[in-house]
Amino acid sequence: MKYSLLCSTIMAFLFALATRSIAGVGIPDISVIGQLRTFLNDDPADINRNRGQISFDESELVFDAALNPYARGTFVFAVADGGIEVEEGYLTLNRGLPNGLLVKAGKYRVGFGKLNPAHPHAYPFIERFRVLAAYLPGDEAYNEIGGQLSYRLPLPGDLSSTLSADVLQGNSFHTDTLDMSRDASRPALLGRWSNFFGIGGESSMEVGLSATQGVNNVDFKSKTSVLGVDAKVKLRFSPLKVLVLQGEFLALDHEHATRDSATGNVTKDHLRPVGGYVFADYTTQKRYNVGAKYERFQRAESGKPWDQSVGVFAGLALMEETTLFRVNWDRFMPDGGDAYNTYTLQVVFSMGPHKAHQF
Amino acid sequence: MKKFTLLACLVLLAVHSALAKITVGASLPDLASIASYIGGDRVDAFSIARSTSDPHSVEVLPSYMVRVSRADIYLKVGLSLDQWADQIIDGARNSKLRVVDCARGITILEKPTGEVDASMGDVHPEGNPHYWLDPRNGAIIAETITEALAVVDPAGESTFKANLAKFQSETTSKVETWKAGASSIPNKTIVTYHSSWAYLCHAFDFAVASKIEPIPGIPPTASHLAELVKVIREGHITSVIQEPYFSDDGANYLARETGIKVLKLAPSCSDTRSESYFDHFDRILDSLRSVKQP
Repeated sequence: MKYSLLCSTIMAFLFALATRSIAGVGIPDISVIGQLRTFLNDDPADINRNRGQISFDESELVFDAALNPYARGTFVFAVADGGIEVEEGYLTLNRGLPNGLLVKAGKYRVGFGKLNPAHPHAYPFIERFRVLAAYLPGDEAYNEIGGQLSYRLPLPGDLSSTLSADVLQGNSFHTDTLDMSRDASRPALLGRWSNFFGIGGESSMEVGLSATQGVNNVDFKSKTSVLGVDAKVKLRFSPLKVLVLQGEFLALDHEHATRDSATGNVTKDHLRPVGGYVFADYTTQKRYNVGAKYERFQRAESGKPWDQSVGVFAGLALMEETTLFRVNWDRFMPDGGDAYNTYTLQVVFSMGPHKAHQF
Repeated sequence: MKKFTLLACLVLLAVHSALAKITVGASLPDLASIASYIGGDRVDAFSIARSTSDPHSVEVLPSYMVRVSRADIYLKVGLSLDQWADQIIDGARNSKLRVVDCARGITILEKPTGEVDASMGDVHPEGNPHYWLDPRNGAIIAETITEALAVVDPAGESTFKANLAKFQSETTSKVETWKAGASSIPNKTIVTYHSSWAYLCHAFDFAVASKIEPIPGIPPTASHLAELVKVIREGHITSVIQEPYFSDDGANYLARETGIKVLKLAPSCSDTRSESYFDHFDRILDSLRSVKQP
C-alpha cells in the first residue's frame, strides 16, 4: 500500500513537471535503470548453493536538472520490493562562488576513494569489493547526509588537484551504539585530496587520498577511522582500445569500547586491519570489455585473519550504456573457511538521456 | 619612491590588461580554428576533443575542467552532440564563462519529423549536428563567434569584424574552387560509416548511397554488409568514408569484397590553428578526388 502510494506520488510529480514544462519550465533529465541478475554459487553456508537463482535488484530513478544559473539538483530514488527510498538527493553550487569553490549539500554517496561515489551499475564488474563493505560505514555504500566544500588548487598547466572536506551526519558509523532511540547523532568528517594529470597522449592518471572519522559508540565516544589511498591509470592505445588499472588501499582503525559490568570501568581497544583491491579492465570497440580483479584484506576481528578473492569479468554494451550484459566469476577464499565460487550474469538496462562517461 | 612604485604597478597592470588574450575553449578543433581566425592575436583557442575523438562521447576529464576554468568563452556544437561539454562546463566552476551555441542560424539537415525514440538508434532529435562540415556554415559560425568575442573584448570588435569579412570572402572563393574540384569526380555517389558527412555531401553535391551502420550507433550485421556489397557493385561506387573512431571491420570487408577504396577521414580538422578549418576541406576533397575511377 505504501509502495503504491509512493509510486502514485512520483507519477503525479512527473505529470506535474510535464504540465509545467508547457508553461516554459524545463523538465529535468529523467532516467530509469533496471538490473536483472542470475547467479549460482557453491558456498557451503548457503542453503541455495548449486541452485541457479534470479533476482531483480533495486532499480534507480534519477532526476537531474539545473536549478538556476548557479546550481544543479540531483535525486536518485532506489526502487525495490520493499519500497522506495531516497538514495541520493543533493544540490551542487558550482558557479558564482569565489576562487573555484564548490558546495554540495544533501544526501549523497560520499567521495571516499574512487568506487564508493559511483553506483555499482557503473562499475565494469558486478559486485562491490568486499573490502569496501568491510571497512567503509553503511550497508550498501558509504552514503550520508551532509555538506561538502571543495577547492581546486590553482596550479599551472592541466594538472587538476582538488581538496574537499565533508561534514556528515555520521549515523552510518554508529555500529556499536546500542540505544539509537534517543538523539544519538554524532557528526562524522571526511577529507579528500585528488589529483589528475596526463601521462602522454590521451592517457591519464589519478591519485587520491581519503580519510574519514566518525563515532561508532555514542555512549563511550569511541571512534572509527578509515584512511584510503587510491590510484587509477587509464591507458588509451587508440580511440577504440582502453586499459584501466585501478586500486585502493584502506586502513581501518576501529576503537572498541566495553564497560566492565562489575567495576563500571570503560576500556577501549583498537582493531587496525588493512586491505585493498586492484582490477584491470580492457575495453575495445567501445562495447566489449574484459578484466580481472583481486582483493585481499584483514577481517576486523581479533587475530585479523586475511580474506581474499579473485575474479574475472566481461561485458557487452549494445548501444552505449542503454543495454549492458555482464558476466562475472568470483572466488572468495576466507581465512579459515571454505572457499567458494559465484557465477553471475547481469543485464543492466536504462532509459532516458544518457550521460557522458565520467572519468 | 612609493609614488613611483605605485605608478609602475599601475602601468604594468594596464599593459598586462591590454595584452591579455581572450581564452576560447571549444568542443571541437573546427570551432576553435574559426575562433583563432576571427580573434587573431587577441585570442588563444583550445579544443577539448581531438580530430580523432568521437565527438558524440568525449570522456569528461578533470584536466578539461581546469582548462575551461580559465576560459572566457566556450563554443558548443549543440544539437545534443556535445552533451558531455555540460559536465565540463559545470565542473569548471567558472562564473565568468560565456557559453555560445554555434548551431545558431544554421539550417539543420536530417531533422526528424516524427517522434524520436531509442529504437531508431542514436538519433539526434534536433537534427544532424555535424554542420561544420559545410564550409558555408563555417561562415555562419564565424559570425556567431565574432559577436561573442566583441562582447568579451569590445576593444577588439573592429579587428574581429575585419577578420570575419576576410573569412567570409575566403570561404566564398574556396567553396567555388572546391566545387569545381568535386565536379571533376565522375561518380559522386559514396558510402559512409555514419551520418557525419551529410553537410559535406550537401555542400558539394555528393550522394550517400548507404551507410555502414544500419542504424546510428549500431555496428553493421552480416546481412547489412551483404546488402551494401550489392549496392556498391550495382552503383559502381568507388569510395567509402570511415571515421577513425568507429570500427573499420565493416569498411575493410567491403574493400575486400568490392575493391572499394576506404578513406579514413576525421570529421574534424587536425588542430586549432586559424588555417586548419580550411585545410581540412582541402584534405577531404583531395582524398575523394584521388580515388581511381573505373
